[in-house]
Amino acid sequence: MQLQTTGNRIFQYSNAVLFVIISIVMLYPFWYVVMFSLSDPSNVSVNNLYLLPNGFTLASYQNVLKSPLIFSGFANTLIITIVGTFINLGLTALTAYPISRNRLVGRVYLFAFIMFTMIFQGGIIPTYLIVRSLGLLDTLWALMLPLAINVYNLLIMMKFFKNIPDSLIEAAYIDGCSDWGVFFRIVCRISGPVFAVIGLFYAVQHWNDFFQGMLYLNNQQLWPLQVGLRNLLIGGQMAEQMGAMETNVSSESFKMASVVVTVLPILLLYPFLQKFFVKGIMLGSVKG
Amino acid sequence: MQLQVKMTKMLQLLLRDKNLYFMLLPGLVYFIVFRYFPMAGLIIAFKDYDIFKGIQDSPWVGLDIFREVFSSSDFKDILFNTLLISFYKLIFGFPVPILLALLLNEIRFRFFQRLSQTILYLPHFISWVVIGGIMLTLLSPNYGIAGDIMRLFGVEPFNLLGSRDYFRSILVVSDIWRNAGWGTIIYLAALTQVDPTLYEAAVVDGANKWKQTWHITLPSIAPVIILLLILDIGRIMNVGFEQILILQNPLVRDISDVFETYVYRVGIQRGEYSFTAALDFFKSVVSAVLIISAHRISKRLGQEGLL
Amino acid sequence: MVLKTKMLWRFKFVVVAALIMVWLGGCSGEENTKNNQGAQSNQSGEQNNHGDNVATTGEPDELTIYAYNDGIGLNDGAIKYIEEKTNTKLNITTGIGEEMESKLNVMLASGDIPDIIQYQTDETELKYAGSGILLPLNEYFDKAPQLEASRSEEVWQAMTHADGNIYTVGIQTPSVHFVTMYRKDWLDKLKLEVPTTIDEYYAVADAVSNGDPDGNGKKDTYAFGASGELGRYFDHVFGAFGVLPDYWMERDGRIVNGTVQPEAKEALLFLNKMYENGLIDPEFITDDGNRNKNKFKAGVYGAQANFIWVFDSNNLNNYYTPFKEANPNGEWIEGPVLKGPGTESVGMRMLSQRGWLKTSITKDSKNIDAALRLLDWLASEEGNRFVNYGLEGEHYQVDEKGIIKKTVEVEEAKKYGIDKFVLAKSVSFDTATPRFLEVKDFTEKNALSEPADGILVPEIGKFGKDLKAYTNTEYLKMIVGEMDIDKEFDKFVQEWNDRGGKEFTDALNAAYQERK
Repeated sequence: MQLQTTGNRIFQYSNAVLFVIISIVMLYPFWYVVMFSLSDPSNVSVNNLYLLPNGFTLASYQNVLKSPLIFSGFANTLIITIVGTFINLGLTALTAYPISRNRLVGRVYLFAFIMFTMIFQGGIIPTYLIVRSLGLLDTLWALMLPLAINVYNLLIMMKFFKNIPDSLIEAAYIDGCSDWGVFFRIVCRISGPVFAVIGLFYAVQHWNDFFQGMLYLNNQQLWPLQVGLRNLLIGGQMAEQMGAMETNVSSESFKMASVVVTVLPILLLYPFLQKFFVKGIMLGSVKG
Repeated sequence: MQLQVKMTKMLQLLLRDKNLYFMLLPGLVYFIVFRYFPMAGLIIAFKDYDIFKGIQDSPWVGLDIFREVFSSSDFKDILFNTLLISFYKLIFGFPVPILLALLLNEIRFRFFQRLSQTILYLPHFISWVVIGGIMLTLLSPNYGIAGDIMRLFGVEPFNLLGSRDYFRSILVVSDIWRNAGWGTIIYLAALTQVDPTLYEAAVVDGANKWKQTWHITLPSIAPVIILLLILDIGRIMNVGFEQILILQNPLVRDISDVFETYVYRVGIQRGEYSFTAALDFFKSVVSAVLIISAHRISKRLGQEGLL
Repeated sequence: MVLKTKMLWRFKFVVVAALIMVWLGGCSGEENTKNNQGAQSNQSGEQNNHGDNVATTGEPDELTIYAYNDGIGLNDGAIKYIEEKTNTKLNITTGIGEEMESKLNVMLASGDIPDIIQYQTDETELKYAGSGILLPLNEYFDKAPQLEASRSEEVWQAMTHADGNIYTVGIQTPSVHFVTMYRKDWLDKLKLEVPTTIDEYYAVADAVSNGDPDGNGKKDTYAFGASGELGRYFDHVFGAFGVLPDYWMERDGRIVNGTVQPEAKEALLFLNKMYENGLIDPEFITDDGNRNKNKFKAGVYGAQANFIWVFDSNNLNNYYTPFKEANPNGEWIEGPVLKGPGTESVGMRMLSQRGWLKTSITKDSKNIDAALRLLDWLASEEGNRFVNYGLEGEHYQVDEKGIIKKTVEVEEAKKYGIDKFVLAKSVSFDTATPRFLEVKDFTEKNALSEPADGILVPEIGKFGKDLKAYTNTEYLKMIVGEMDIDKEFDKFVQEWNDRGGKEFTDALNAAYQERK
């Protein structure tokens, strides 16, 4: 279809070269972490770019995987991320859709009502008191419900919903769809990309969170991965202050290995989500 | 009489959209329970909050805390730093993801496109603590690449991170390094909403790539760009606490101390909740003003704004 | 129909809202605190309340504890052993790092007050003591004689508040972490002696920095570096001039801060000269603790003040072994306090006797006796040894010189729970080599004690951190030559005083006179 002019070809090549360079620059931090994690912790070096590991060992990974609470942590984080993201997406979409419709009476007020909570927040203690009074302390719900809707994400979703042509929705009404029917059959079906993006945002937020877990969970068996690991890492630092023996835990390689272990699963999510990024998805549904 | 007509009409509209209101219900319950109830906590900005007395029984102090903050010797510097660094980040950092997304969108080879996309968002997952360590290594005048490059150009190597001339630029660049790829994701999603028939028509009209981008792609994703711009403007008081705390050193402290590092040092480390609450309240007010103004301006410019 | 349902919902909202609002107001205050406490504590504790202290029979007393988490596992063998020994059932909540006190504050604000709490800062201690939630331990020492005996008179003195009460048990580190040290192998190679005066020190520092002591033909060694903070790493130089920055000292019966003494100016001029001539690692401003430690171990520094742990060859992973591996011929030797131009030189700074971690029993605890019993046992010789090293025969052995040899790997010891539950721990050096103890005694003997240690005034919280940050910035600017010391130092002193330094000093002096 496209006319392959010379200019176009030059642009294509230089664009590709540009992205090779950018990719190298962007890959470096992760590469550094991986190579560092494979290095022998007893090798001291002032300056190592870690283009390759400094002495090779998998010991740090063995140590990470041997740490207490690591598997229960993985399980908890997985539950929180999956169930939490599901709740997030459901609530956010259900709230975003009606307000994105121009015909809804009072949408500006509803919008202001929600927007206000993005700007003004009550703080940790009152929120803790609410969570406690609802009996959510020491349950995984405490990590999912208080952050069920992120207003920032809600606004983005609204913007995408708003971009859906009114004609498409009116047509559905004429075909006899109810509001729920329109929402599930039309809006949700053609909003794959925004669901993927917002889902990713929520999932990453759950995956990386340690503050909520630290605050609301006393039972170590419920700790998400990040809380358990953080306790290990900081604990190691304190041992040094005390002049106590250093443990494997406090070695830099261990920290890097723990970064890789925690980050890898969530990284793998994105390539799967990319398949939702289909161009012209809206057009297809109009025609269909 | 007329009022009655209006009321009936309103009622009709409400009834027509009853299902839409039902949809809103769970969300509104959430906002009331988890966002509005805790707002009782805002009061502590005006009280001398004692955790053992509770919010209600802590004594009122009115605007005392605000007065203390605004009269503190560092306040002007901090406000200036906050605005300046945020402004730099906005000017230089905001367009990068858009640019990257547009360029990524032009890559024809699917596999390469997806691979680049994935690599671009990797740094976002490496915490600032680790990135900070990497930067120390890279920018070290004695042992790092930065030192080698300076020597190559015949410059006496110096400590970039300890340099008052370069520190703010480093903040901006490293922020782009870590977060730009992550920021492209929204725009990539927005690009999927662009109607492909528009391009087909443009090609028939003989529009080149540049014109297509300018007249079709950008206007199509403009609502998302403007939304994010307004939200970013609203967050001007939040510069990126963790990054600054980690990269900061005493030599550049006074030119890089921002609101958040100040609140952290004075309020949180001291456990003074009222102090922290007062500063947060101030920040929120500023942010509300900024968001509303930005929204109004964008409306006046004929754009959609927030809603 | 629909409207009715909606009304019903709205009604429910209002009810829930009202309930929570009422509760929000009411949850605070003592009444509620007590209710909560009552509900929480185990009733069986009551029976023991008025018995004698050594209740080793009967139902175990339940104790809720908020503890510093150095990897405490709630099912650790060590916890079980402690419970058995003290006839308690420990219900532990943990916190760590910066969030430790945030979480404790949130718990306390919601009325969940544990029987025993741990926290880190003096500011917090002052706040809690002022709110009257802490138990004055001194009134109960007869019930916990081993706890009282575990710390010296001097330490308890430092723990005493202005009202004469002791509210906390401090978890101490060794009192001095740093010693002036030189690379013995480099000195030998360069034919130099361990310096005793500041001028000799300069010559040595110059030689180890510019004389290529590691023989690789590159300028890659320095006298010393630091990790962005002012204290400690510079103490050997400041000490020679008779002051320590950011440290309280007694001068003519008055407490003054070393930061703003005229001698500090001399020291800064000296440091500036060192920096200009490439004797101080220029990366000292940006290096973090890790990087400094790495350089130390890699053998970049030759005449520095740094951690004493490098002298302990028994402490396998910490400093000594990595240093030896990177520098097979490397050897450190400690050096005396350097004599300066003035009359009196001072040694290294001491850490607060109050400890880096504090343990308190709460006043409204229903199980005060059980809490005391627990702390008493943990502080006893038997308890402390168990917490530090585990069980003799199983985790360690004692050799003929009395040096403890750990018989299990560090990781395994951690798994059992050794050295994690530090409610009343005292530091002990039973595993250290005689050489290490020698250096430790050497630096402790020479160290400068802080007269203001243990004086808690609200100004610490108000000005302490800000003044420290300000001093750090200005001092570094002077050292690297961004500020003209001769011209600007007096201005700096003025500004320091205006920023609350004077108020702080006066408050400390007032409290100091009172304590005397």
